[in-house]
Amino acid sequence: MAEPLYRPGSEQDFDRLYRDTYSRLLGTLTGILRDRASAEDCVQEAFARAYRHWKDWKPEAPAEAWLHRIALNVAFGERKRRRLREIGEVVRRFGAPRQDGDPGAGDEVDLLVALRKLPPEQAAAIILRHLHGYTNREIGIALGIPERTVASRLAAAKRRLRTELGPAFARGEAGTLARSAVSPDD
Amino acid sequence: MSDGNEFEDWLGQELERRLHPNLSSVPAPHYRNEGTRRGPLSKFISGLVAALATKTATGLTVAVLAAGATGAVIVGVQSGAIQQFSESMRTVVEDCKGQPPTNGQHGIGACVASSARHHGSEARSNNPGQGSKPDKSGKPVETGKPDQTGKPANPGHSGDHPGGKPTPRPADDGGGD
Repeated sequence: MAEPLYRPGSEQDFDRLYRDTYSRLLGTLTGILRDRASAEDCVQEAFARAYRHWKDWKPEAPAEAWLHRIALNVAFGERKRRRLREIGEVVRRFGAPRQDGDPGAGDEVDLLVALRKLPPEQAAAIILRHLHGYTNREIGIALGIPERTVASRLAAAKRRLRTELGPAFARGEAGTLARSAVSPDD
Repeated sequence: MSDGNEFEDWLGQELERRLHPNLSSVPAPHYRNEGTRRGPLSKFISGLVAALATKTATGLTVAVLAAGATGAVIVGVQSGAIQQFSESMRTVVEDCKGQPPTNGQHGIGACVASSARHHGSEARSNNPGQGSKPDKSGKPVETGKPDQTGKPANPGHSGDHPGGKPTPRPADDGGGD
């Protein structure tokens, strides 16, 4: 990830940062939330928070990783609120929450569904590495964890993903796994 | 290992295909007009803070004013009548200590009571409108000495006793500063 130069507190640089990184942040949050509209709202909220603290940004941390940290915090909070709403809704309708905790997942084999079953930090690490090509250091900054923990977290996430997706992948269905109705463009 | 690499390659391709937003243009940012777009929770919190701040400021102002007024009253009273009276009584006690016992009595109680009574009578005659009751006879007590029974004259008149309501001493009495 080539890091352009930004100056803390500069309005023009923050505008440029917004244009340069909006698309990648939206991709990350769509993977975490599985909902394009919520992801767009969270990205805007993240930029609003970042804008308030832009003058305090330390250039030692890559600006995009710093932004990702803010955006992931917003998305994790949104996931918690959504989960509480879903549980409350299920309890209200049926009297007991679903055990799989992922309404609408059904039996489909889907990468985004499998990502959703991971702990949010592991899902974020997978997206940052395999979608954006982040280094361990950048993932550590984005997740607020030590760099040496990133490798073990990525390995654990990949093991769980292979368990979820492996049989279909081994049958050569990898190319058709994305047939799920869940799509960020929906 | 090749299986692992294959899985990772597939993972990257799938993530790119599923999560890339394919935006033709970046939407307009919201962070510039964030100040005018506040949610109900932030409005409630800021309203609560403003209300608390106003109430706190009002309470502090009232407390400061009340404390200042009370202090002024206390200082005024202490530096006025009470201070004068206590100074004069201190002088009376010192004088009584220097006098020999009369009629075989010990102590300075009778002497002090008589002097206080004398002081009260003087104060009433000099300040008739101050609220102190006039002496029933209308005459001041002439001597500070006990009567024949050894008891202070007019013992039931508590209005002149130091233990009763104090009477401001006139300034020309020499008791004040």
